[in-house]
Amino acid sequence: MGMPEQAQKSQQLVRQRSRFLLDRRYDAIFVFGVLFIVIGAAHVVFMLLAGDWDFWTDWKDRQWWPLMVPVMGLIVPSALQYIAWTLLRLPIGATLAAVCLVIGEWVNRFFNFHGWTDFPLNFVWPSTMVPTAILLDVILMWTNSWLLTTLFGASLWGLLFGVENMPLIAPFRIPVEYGGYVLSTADVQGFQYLRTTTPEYIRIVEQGNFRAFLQQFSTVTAVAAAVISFASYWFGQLIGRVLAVLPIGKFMKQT
Amino acid sequence: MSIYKRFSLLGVLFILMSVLTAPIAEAHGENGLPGFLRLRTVTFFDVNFTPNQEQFKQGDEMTITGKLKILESWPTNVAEPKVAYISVDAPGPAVLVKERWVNGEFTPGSIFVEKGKVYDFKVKVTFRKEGRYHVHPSLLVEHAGPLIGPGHWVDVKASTTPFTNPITLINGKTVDLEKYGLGTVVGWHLIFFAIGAIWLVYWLVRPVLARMLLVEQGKFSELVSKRDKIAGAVIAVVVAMTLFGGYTYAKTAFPGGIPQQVYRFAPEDLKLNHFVTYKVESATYGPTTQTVVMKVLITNHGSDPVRVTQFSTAYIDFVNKALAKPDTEHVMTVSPDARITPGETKSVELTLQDEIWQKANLLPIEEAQISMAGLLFVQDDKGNRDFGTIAAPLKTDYQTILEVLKKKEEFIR
Ligand SMILES: [Cu+2]
Repeated sequence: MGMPEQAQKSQQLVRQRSRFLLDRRYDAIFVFGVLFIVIGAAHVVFMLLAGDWDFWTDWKDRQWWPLMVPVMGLIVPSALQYIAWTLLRLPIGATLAAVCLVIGEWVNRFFNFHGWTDFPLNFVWPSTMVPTAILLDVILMWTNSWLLTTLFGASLWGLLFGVENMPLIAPFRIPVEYGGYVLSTADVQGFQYLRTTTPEYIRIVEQGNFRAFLQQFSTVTAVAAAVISFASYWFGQLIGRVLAVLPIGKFMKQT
Repeated sequence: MSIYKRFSLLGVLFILMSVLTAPIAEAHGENGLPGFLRLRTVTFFDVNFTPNQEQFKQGDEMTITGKLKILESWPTNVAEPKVAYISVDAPGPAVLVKERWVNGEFTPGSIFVEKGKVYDFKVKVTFRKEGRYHVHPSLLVEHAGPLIGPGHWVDVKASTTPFTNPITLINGKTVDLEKYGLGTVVGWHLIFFAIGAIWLVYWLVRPVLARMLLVEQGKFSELVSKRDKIAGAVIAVVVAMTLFGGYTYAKTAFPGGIPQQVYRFAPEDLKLNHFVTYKVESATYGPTTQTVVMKVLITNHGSDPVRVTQFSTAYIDFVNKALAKPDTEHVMTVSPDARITPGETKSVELTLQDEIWQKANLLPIEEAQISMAGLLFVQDDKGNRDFGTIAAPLKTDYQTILEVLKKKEEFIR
């Protein structure tokens, strides 16, 4: 709680739109600083937790991809949403995290997987979670309730991951007759583009059956992802709380 | 410290963190076995590279054929071989694997394997990248890691035309797998990214840090106005419409998709006609001269006299010196090198003196227990060949070990 004197002073400052203390230059530095930190943090957390499901098209299946990637991918957006909302009342934390993650992942795929190791980009592109992140932020802004945001936002996050990534994966689900077998195009990419440390047997995907033609992304997986996303959302909130109360909160109050 | 310095420091820290952790995250594949365990796990033999040449250009093909046996002497401290993947070892996607055949069957993925069985493989590769590199056949075993066969140097020259990888989809369209679908992926990423960016910019064009003071004062209505809530509704509708658009696009532009396919089977056993049995009488190793000497009792159950032709271990073939060609890399002496007649049991001494034992770290004497294992080949005059596993712990003279270790220590000093 700020002292009355201090509160008065700060109120004055906002009214005056002071050019000294709260210059837009500081805003720019702040935003770019946050951008870098979030790109780094989101990328690292995501690589370690969702790794292969996001790296290769032949891992992007109907069962594990729409479960592992959104669940692991929600932690950083949730934490950032908490910080942005409680400290700044900005409903953009999740969107910022999702956008930063997409930037970080494309940089990683382009320079590392494509530039350095020479995989074609159509084999190693990242997933997107930007649309569901926007919905998560908008729901929080409307409801101003963590509980309702969990119930509606986090569940949409899990439910809609398959939908938001459907136009991306669709070309790679087209079947190919290969060596007398029916494979998906993604399987052929996995067969042909040599990964010396990722043999086929470590791939964790739905044990598909070629008669099971895709009608939609598995509803069961989407519901499971929605439910587990609750936990993931609260884990992120916990991290956000710790960060906001401890270093960032104190630091921001000092400046 | 100024706010600028603090943030740039944090930024640098996180970039460093992401750079440093990236290789860790990506190198989570399995590690190879140490050399001395390799002798007892898998033996590659009859490996051929066709065409057997070094000069290629992008788009050229090479076929690697050969056989491998998962030895009965597979060490107990390494996970039992159950699932394996036959592949090639090369600098990543420098080559494309176009075909893989195991025991005459086309093999889309991994296979179920068993100790003691022999697998006949054929892998056809296309050179995708220019450069000089080494290509090996390989067997990756679940929980045990990659076991690499003999290597072949290739020097791939750039082709004048850009490399393409055409493939015919089931709908009859032929596409280039080097870039198929990339436009779709990038296009949708850009659409979603743009909507996200609009939402961010909508908020970030206004003062950011100044909001903190208003938050402290609890002036929330000034921070999120009615107009903002309407903007939120608009962006949510835009998101919903875009998602529906993406869904419709996927359904109409790419109908008939299937999930990933996993075909895993146990290849049918090869028909092998065994007519010789082996029993190792003794095996010793002299570290100073890098010499392995094995005494083997060979019994010929066949109808024709046979002769010892070769001993293979890991990825190395030791050819009977008397049968070696001028370009044979590794040889062994066989004594007596006389034919073993039908019904006869003969004790034969094999002497394998070679630098490779220590150069490839196959027999490091510091290890608690070193063993020799591999396949011994015999052949009759009609050209019928047989082979079997021989395996035994290597006895070595304690005094010489001490001497070698001492020499090593001096060398390090
Ligand atoms: Cu090599």
